[in-house]
Amino acid sequence: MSEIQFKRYLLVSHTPNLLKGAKSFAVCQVPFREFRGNLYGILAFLLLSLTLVLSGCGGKVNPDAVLKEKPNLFPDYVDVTIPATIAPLNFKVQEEYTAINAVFEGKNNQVIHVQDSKEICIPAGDWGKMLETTKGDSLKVTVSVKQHDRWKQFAPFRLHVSETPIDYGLVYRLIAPGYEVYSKMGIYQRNLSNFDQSPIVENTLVPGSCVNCHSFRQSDPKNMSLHIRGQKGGTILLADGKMNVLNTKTDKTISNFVYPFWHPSGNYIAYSVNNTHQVFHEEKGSRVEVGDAASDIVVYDIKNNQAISCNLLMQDSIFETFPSFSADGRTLYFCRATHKKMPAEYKEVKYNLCSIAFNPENGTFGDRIDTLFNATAQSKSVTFPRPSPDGKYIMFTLADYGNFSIWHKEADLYLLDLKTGQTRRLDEVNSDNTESYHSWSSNSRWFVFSSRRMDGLYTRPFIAYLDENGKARKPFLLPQPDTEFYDRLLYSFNIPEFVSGKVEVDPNIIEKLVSGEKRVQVESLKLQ
Amino acid sequence: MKGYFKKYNWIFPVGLAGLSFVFFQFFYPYHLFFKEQIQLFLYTPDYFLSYFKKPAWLSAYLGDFLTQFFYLRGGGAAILASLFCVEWVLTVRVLKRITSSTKAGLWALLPASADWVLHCNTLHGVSVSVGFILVLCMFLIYAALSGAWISYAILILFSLTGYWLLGSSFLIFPFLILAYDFNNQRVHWMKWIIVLVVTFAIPPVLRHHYLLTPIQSFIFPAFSKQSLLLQGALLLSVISSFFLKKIEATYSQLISFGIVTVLAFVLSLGIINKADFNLEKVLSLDGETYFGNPDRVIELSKKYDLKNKQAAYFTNMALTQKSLLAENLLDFYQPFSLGLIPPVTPEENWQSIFVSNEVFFLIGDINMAQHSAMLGNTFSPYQRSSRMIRRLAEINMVTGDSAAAMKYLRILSKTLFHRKWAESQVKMVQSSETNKWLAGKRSQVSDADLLRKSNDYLSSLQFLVVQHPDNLVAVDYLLCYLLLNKEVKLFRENYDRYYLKLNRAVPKVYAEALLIQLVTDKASQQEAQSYSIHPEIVTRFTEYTRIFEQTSGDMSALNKQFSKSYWFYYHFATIQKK
Repeated sequence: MSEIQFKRYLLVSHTPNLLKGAKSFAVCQVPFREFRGNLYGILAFLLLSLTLVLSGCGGKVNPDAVLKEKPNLFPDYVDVTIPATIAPLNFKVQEEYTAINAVFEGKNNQVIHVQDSKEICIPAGDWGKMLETTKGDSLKVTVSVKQHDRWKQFAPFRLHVSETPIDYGLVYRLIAPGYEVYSKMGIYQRNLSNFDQSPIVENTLVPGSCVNCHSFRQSDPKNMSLHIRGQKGGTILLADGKMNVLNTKTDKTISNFVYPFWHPSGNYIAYSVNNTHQVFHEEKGSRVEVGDAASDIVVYDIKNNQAISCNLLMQDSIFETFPSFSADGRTLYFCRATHKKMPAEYKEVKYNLCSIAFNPENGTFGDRIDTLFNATAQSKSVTFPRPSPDGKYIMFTLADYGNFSIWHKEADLYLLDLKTGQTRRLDEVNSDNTESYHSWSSNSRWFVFSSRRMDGLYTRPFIAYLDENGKARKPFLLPQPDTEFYDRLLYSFNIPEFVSGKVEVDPNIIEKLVSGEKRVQVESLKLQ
Repeated sequence: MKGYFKKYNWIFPVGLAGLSFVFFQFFYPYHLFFKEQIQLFLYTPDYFLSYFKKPAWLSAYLGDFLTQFFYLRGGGAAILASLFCVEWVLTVRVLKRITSSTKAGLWALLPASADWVLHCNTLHGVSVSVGFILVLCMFLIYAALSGAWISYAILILFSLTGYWLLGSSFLIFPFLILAYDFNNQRVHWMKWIIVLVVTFAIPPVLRHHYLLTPIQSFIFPAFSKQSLLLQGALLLSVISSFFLKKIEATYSQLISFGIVTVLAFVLSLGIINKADFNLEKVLSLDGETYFGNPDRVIELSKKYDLKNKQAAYFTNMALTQKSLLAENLLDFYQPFSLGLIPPVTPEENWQSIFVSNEVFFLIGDINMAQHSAMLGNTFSPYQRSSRMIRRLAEINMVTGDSAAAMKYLRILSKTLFHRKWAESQVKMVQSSETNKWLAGKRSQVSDADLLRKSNDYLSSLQFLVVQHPDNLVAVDYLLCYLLLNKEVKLFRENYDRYYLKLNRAVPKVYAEALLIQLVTDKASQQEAQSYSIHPEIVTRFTEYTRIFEQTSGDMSALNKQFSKSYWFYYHFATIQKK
């Protein structure tokens, strides 16, 4: 390994002892850290940064005190399990200090040493190399902070680097929290191995529109569905590189298509159709609900451009929503509740996790509905059932009532083992605030979920590893270029979904398609 | 008189600056306060970088930097007056370079005046003015270069980076080059075509990168096509001075007089046409509400006597804060209950949505206040508003959500003018202390729950009153809401249930409404007397009834004496649908 000696702008006076005997390289912090990942910023301030970088020198710390406690980091990356291709986990200690120092020790005596006055921002290149060589093992991280001219060293913690790969990236919607606002929102993709985020579509391209419910065929970026609501609305369907705008309202369905889930074959997409209403809480701890006055489930047959369903999925006395297909495509899971008067009886709406057989060869349904998880018996309500692609589990959200768990503080993630039929709360990842929407990686070993644990208002994406025994590891917050990123962001991360590659969609093509008049009318519902 | 205009050239910029300062400071100040409230200027590198996501980063950043000073009384007017002055100076130099006109000082008044007129709109940003100034500077740099190769190099550099730096303001640049060359009798077709093509090709090409619609790409950072008027005015100055130059010497005074007359006429017409003095009045009520001066709101409202729901909205809040709502409700125009609680829907204009949180925060409907403040922030033109962030911080302090409150306070602590307030609030959050204001607001908040539709204000008000019967603001809003919707029976029921328990004197409007319902209910004299209605009101009611019956309900017969009474409102108020 080549030793790289950077100089840094922060002057540190203590002599090193932390890395005795190790092949080390001190790593500088580039000033204007927020400029990382921004080409324009880098260009604009390159000269200034270089000047500052070259004007100082780095050093290692000799701690005046060594604590037994591990540091209280933000984001909390202490002892988390991470994929080898994750972007640098930049962090700070949640204390006052004048300098912070971190030493990352990997396999083969690899060391990254970072020091700064504010936060630890790890150089991407060295980080990537270190993770790659430490796969299946763990990094030891020793953090020190300088307070009143004395260095305080915390007990080291570990970053476990999994051998199991994670998908290319995430796709999510950024939206002001909780409310249906049409002013500014967008669906974006984020490369997990760095900090690059790019738009798939922004609603300002089609003024007065809302974009929502993006969905991929088992993380495949070439097969995507998303909705544009508003005057120029429609469902964007990208199937094997071909894009169309669908008009999904038929004379026999109560609304346009809403919550989607792709069939593993790519031939079908299950959608709910919902007559939704927004209602507001008066209680300070709760905020908003979006409930259904009616809802059904249909399956869209892509090849035949036809919506299909059956009477069991379209009962007037029942709310059916959140459909999803099993890994083999032969079962359709969904949430099912007894119809209640809205909004008066909304708190009595409790969804069970149910299933019905589906035959992908001819697009027909079974003749009975099974209940997989009887939430009603516990006076609870299931939302977002998401089967793992390997067919072993269904992860779902459990809340006290209704189907708008994203604003339910008590909402937690649960895991149903399809082999044993056992369900357990995922205590390893839940918090005392909302955990709600979640998505599996294509290899079923990672999942991403949205949580409001940080401030109770804005959903943030957390990623967790699930081992071969179905035990989840401590989740970690999606890393960002700097630790203040989430603090200044006034948008929630909505519907985080894994994608196995970059979504090659030009937002301007979507704009052109949606702004045009051409719509493919989904053929009338075929009931079985 | 000869040479008068030349000798006293300084009068133009000084006069323009003086007049515009007086206009914006004394006749239009609240528009400028509002412009500050709909943006949020942060002193962080990340905030600076956010400008690179769109074109015109330089003019937009500098424009927003200047706009933050609109928070200060006189700050906005001083900045605009200075900008107009700089525009004039630079335009004079540009005109002299291009046309060598002796009337450049007069012609240069045209763009600055156009900018003045444009700034009468709340959405016309300072960034457009800054962009205009910078493009003039670019032209002057180009014109000052004598070496051929360096001027070509600069031309290429400017053409390629102009849109990136200044957005649509740069679109005037090739025309200035063309006019400059043309006047100097240098015909460079190739150069002109290249500069024109490059300048006008860049917006549609880069719009894909910046995710702008075709129209947006040609007007950014402005929100409206009207902002192109500024560049149009410069072009007009150039063309006019060019063509009239030949007769300037012969008809010097006539031309000067003509320009000044036309300009004064156009400026007056522009201001009359574009300045929205009604909105300025509404914004004055809004501004004084924001600055916490209910007395001033009532005073202004009386003075203006506006007949619109926005004015009623701010007036009613001010009356409530002074515990005068039930006494003076009908002294002001009331468009049924729309002036009490305006609807918050995507169909409303963004300014109504922007200010809608005020009433919910006042009455203690804290969840709805948060909803409205978030909508207000998202619907504001830049999706980041200092006023909404401040309100969101307050709301989360009231609900005790410290983490969320701290998030907003940390954002505000990176501003110039909201930092001090934010830091004082941070101390309060961290120390868990409560001042009188916070304790008062927290006492309104409910732990009980009710699910209701967003526009079901009656349920919400009843819920607030049931939870906190001592919340006089909510009680008054509930009772007035019923009265303005002519639900007198419900009013009496709620009055008996909530207001009577407060042991307060019966206010005028309530007394008048009670009399109607007591008569309708055929209440006994003893029952009527139990309300302790002032005898004078009873006498007036008798008189009103007598005239009403005598004239078979003739409105004109009652108007003079009873137009401010609830009886009159009850009988004659109607909503006229447009």
